Amino acid sequence: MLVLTRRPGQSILVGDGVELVVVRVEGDRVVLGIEAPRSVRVIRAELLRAVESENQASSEARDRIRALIAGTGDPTA
Amino acid sequence: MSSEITIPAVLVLPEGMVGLPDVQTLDTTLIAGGQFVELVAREEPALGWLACAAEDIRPGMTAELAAAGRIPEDAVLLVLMASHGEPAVVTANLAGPLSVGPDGETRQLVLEGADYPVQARVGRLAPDPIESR
Repeated sequence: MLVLTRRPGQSILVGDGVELVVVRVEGDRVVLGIEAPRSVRVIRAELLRAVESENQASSEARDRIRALIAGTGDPTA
Repeated sequence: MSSEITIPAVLVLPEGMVGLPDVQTLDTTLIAGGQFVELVAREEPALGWLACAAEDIRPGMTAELAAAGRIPEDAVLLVLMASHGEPAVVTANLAGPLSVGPDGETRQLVLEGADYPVQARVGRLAPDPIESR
C-alpha cells in the first residue's frame, strides 16, 4: 500500500481525472473532498461491505419471507 | 404493499450482484399477485431473494434516481427483503436496489445517504431504519 502524508488543502491525484483533497482534519476524522468523473463510483468501503452482507442475509431469509407472504399475503400484516 | 411488479422472466446482471460477481442471471417468479418477486440465481440456485417494488417502501425513489441519472427513466426498481431478529422484523435494502431495464438488463446499485438505509423496516408507512450504517 502506498502511504502519503498530506496537509489540509493538499491533494492526491489518482489516475486520470480523480483528485482527493484533504479538506480538514477534525480530531480523529479526516474530511476529504473528491473530484471524479460521474462514471467513477465513489462509496464508503463499509457501505459496500454492508450491502454485500445484506445480500447474504436476504438470501438466507428467503424461505422465511416466502412463508410470511404465503401465510398472510403481506409480511407487514 | 400495492405495486404490481412488471419485469422480464429473466434478469441479466453483467456486473453480478454486489459481493457475488458470478451471479449474473436471475430467474424471476411473481408471487402474491405480483406484489413480490422471487429471484433465483441460475448459476447457484441455492441463492435466491424475495423482492418488492422500491416504491412500496419509499415512494418517489424511482423518479428521484432517474432524475439524478442513476437509473434509466423506464427502469423498475426492486429492493431485496430480509428478516432480522426474533420475532422477525422484515426489512428492505434501500442502499442496494436492483435497477431492472425493460429488456431485463439489471444492475445492483450502492446508494450513499441516510435516505437509503441497508435495513429499512417494511411497512405501509415511510421507511424506519432499524440500523443506520
